[in-house]
Amino acid sequence: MTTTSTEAVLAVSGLATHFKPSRRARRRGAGVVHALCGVSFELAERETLGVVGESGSGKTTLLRSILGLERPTAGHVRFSGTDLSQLRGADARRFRTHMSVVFQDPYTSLDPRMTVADVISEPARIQRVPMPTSRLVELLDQVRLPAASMDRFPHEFSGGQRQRIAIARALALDPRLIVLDEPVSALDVSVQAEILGLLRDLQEQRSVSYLFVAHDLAVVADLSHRVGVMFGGQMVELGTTSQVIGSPHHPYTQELLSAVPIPDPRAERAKPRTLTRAWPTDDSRPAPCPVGEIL
Amino acid sequence: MATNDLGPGMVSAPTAPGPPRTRRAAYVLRRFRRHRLGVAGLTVLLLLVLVAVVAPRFWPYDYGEITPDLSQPPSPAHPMGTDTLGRDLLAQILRGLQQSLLIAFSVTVVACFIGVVLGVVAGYFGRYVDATVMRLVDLTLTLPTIAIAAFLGSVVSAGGVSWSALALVLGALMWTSVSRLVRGVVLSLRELPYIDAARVMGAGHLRIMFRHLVPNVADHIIVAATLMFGTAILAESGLSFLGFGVQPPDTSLGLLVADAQSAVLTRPWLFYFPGLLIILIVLSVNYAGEGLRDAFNPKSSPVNPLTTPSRAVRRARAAATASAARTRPAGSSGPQRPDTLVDIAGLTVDFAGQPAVHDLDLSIRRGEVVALVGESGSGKSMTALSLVGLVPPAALCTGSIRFDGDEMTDLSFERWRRYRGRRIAMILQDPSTSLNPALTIGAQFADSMRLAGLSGRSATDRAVELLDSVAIKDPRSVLTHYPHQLSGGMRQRMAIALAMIHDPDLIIADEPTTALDVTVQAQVMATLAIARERTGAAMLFITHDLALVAGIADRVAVMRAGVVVEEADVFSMFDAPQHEYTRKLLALAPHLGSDGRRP
Amino acid sequence: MGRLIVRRLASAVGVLVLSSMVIFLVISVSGDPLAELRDRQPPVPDSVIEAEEHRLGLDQPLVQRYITWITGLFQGDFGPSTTATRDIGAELTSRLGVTLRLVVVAIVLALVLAMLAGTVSALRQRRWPDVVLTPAAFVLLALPSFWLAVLLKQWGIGFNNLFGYQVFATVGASSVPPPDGVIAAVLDAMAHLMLPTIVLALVHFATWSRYQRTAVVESLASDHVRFAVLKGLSRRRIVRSYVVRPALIPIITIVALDLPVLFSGAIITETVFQWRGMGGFLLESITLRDTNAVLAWLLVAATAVVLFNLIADLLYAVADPRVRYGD
Repeated sequence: MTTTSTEAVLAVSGLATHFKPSRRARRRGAGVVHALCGVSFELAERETLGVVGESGSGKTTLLRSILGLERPTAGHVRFSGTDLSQLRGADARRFRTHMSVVFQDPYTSLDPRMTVADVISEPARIQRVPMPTSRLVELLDQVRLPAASMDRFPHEFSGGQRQRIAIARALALDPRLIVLDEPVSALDVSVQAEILGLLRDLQEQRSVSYLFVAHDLAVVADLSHRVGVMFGGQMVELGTTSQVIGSPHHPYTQELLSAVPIPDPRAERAKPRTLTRAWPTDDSRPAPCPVGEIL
Repeated sequence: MATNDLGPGMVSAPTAPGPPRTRRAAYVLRRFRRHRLGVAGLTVLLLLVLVAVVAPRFWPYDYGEITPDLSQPPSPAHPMGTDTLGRDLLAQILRGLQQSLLIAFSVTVVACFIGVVLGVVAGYFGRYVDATVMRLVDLTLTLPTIAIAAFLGSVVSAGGVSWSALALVLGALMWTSVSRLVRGVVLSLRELPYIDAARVMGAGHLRIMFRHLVPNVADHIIVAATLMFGTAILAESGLSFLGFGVQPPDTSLGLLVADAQSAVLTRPWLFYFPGLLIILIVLSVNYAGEGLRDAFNPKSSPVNPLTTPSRAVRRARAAATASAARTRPAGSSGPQRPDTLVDIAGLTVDFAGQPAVHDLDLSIRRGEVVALVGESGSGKSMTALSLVGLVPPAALCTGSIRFDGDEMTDLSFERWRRYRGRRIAMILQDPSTSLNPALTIGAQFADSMRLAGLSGRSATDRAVELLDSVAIKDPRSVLTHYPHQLSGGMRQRMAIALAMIHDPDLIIADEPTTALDVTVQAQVMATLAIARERTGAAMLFITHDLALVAGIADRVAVMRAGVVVEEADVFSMFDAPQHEYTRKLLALAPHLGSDGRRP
Repeated sequence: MGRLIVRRLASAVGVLVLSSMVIFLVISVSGDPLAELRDRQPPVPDSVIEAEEHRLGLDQPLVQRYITWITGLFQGDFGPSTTATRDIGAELTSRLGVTLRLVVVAIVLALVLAMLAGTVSALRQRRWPDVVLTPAAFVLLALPSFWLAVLLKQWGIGFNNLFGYQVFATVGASSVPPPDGVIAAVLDAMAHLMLPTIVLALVHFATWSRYQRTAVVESLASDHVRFAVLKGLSRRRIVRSYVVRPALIPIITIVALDLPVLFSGAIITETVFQWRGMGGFLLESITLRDTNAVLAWLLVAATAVVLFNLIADLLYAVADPRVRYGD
């Protein structure tokens, strides 16, 4: 608690989430899955922290652990100094007003049986606070959707429009933190740019912080002030965006960077051909999980 | 990851621009109305219910009333005849119909209630709750419905079984199918982000189950309930037939058939009328259920890649091609260059008036890598599919496709086999589904090797050599693995190695890295480059990512809304894009700043 | 694979034990096997009723009765019958054979035909023979098995009368007395099997062929079939290894789930054709209020269902390597 600076909206310290393998998997010799191994970082007000990682890197578990969708094995998630794991019942529910989420797939993140008005006002209904129509119109306006969208169903909208609805839902209770889980990776390039622009504008208008998790370094760099790179459940590199992109220290970050295709035929053709992983190698691998076998 | 591109697996016409202003119920109703047998089934069913309720009030005879007309065949006074005691069969049948409908309805309500509650709870909570409910299902399945119902029926039959007791017993034994179905659907729904979103908002279990899960399984429940109604009719009448259901002096359809057992040849009306009525009820229930199922879950038009286009399709295509050719400026297809491998001229792929590809011209020279770039719905995948003759049957495909001088439209399945695999190889988007889950990698290689005239040891050696060339470690053991035991990148390399077997002239790669991580993408791209070099094949590389083609393509074509808007060699495309859309794509694509580029 | 068998076996035994408890409970609490004796006019002396209660073990607490019953089962003793002369175990054994003959032949027949018809229907959607098979399956699904059984039996009798020669055997599982000679006996058994088997098989043929058709249609639309086509494989090869093989799981599931229904169908069929099989045994026992006999019947049925489910589980593993390797 003492180390947590007062400005930090979110402070994650030594967070680890391990999964017990199924009984069947254990009998075949599978050990505990160290999905997340002691990750620590802080997120300041109005800051965007990008977290990059490939499938299996633990970025999704990190996000789910922060959101309370998984129970962490060790470590703390503090929100403005309050340890989220200590909250129970109604307190825990009330705390949900400060945090919201936008998921990757706009086709499955909205309940198909709800109208747009139902979707956007659901957080308010759960928290038992009023949500007047004027507020709904205002929210839709902020995500640049017409007020007439309210009575429609999600399937009547395009992917980009649906992602705007999801953002409006995330904004509904004026949260201090929005967790963005690959918010643009299911969208076409032209739509991606619109959504990223919208997110940037919203941050300028309100004092909201973003935790932006994605697999695409270029997209993350576009929006983030700082970037963390995850591999094997650990954050192998964390720094300002220009630091991580410009002078990466970790070999994995370097590999990730060189794998990003460059929209320039000459530069791209000059790259050495990679048929196998550059990292980890036999003599350089990630450190073992510092949290150890807890389960 | 623009995975929502139109794949032939999900054949739906491209959505019209601008959201339609229709509600779901209206959609479902419209689709149901198009299902003629479903509508007929529902109509008959509703009519039968109406008859069961209304007709007995007006029919002069009571079902137990004994008239002086003994064993009469059907006549104007007794449209269905009379039985040996002189009772009017129509009156009895109407009573039976009432009983059957009432009992079946109650059974359905009971069974669906138990099934839905247990199914939702099991699917949502999973783990031990799920295991317990599933054991309960197993347990219930070990109790044969008729036997238990018959025994219970016999014990309480002192004063005749009340229909409600019968319904309860049957319902308590028949809920398993509903609960299995609901559980399965809920298990898959539970993983969906909107459920996670509700949990993040702080929604409780009850809210998630009743606000999100139940409305989303409602479709399945309605269909299951309809079909259950039919099963319940059969169960009740079967039980009554055995004498353990509805008891005399009351009557039911099953009882009427039982009484007429020996009269089939002598007084056939007594046997056929009640039996045919049961068949009519169940048949209409089943067709109504089928119609509802199709209305809720519109089936994509049947996909069968093993067929040859029918003569009607070929004629329609020829006619459309001819009329299109008349409107095209003469000589636009021009004389072919000698090294042209693929020549597509005036290709249009049309889904019920909405073109996915419109009047497309594209040629590929031998050994050349052409990239086709476009966003979802641009028609790039449809172009690739028309090149291998797998355009979905719902689409009308016109124009000309020449491969090495041969016209490729309207080939039969057997004719296509001379090209597919042997001369044109294709790599699909999702490596997790393109390999056969039931066969080992080795067996899938052997299938192709046999076509290449290799078998036994020489086939294995060649497979090992190919896997080696795509940088697979320990290829011999990989051959004994099943696809699910390999990673996504490995599977895509298997697909690439399979494509190399016949040294094809053309490799089509349809978004081969979209489902993969960026470092794996780099490896697969390198593998593709190797495959191309080894086989000397030309390549059609399809992607939504313009940056990705910079390293591999010789020539790039940018597609939008079914039309190629710009086509140029790769250097001029990136150095000086001509079309506004290309410039927009290049500008908008997120890329690392100049300091991010690695040498 | 060995572990899989052991695990499934353990689970099957667990279900069976639970099932025996439920069956016992339901049957014990739901009726008095001596009701008929008690209601007799003139009244039977109390001593006789008490003696009968003692013989059937009804004077003991429920748990004790269950333990007695279940330990007896392990020694092959199904407990006393209400009819003192009846030996439940012996009668059950002979009748089980009769029913198994009917059920197994019907399952095999229905399954083979359903898989063929379903596959052909799916491969030739909306063309001959699908245009006939699909509506036919719908009609068959709506046929009550008892009605079909009576119909075929009476038509068989009518046919026999018309030609004055017994072509179809419509009563019993074999002639009484059975004809001499092995060949004659087999032919006789087959003649008796024909109609009941058709009744039992047709209904399930309809269900299963629908499921097989759906499974094959889905399989046909899958990516790996498209990929196989793109590899240039022959039609026959694709259908066998790429279309039908991955579509086996649904049909295995549905056959296993349908077995209880099949047993119910067998009861009706046997009744109509007057077979001295398990169906008749159950109905007689119910009429006689012979609770131990009903219990024995239910236990045999439960065992059969559990056993077939076990076989289905193992077939999954054969059909799908993902099950075999525990993923």
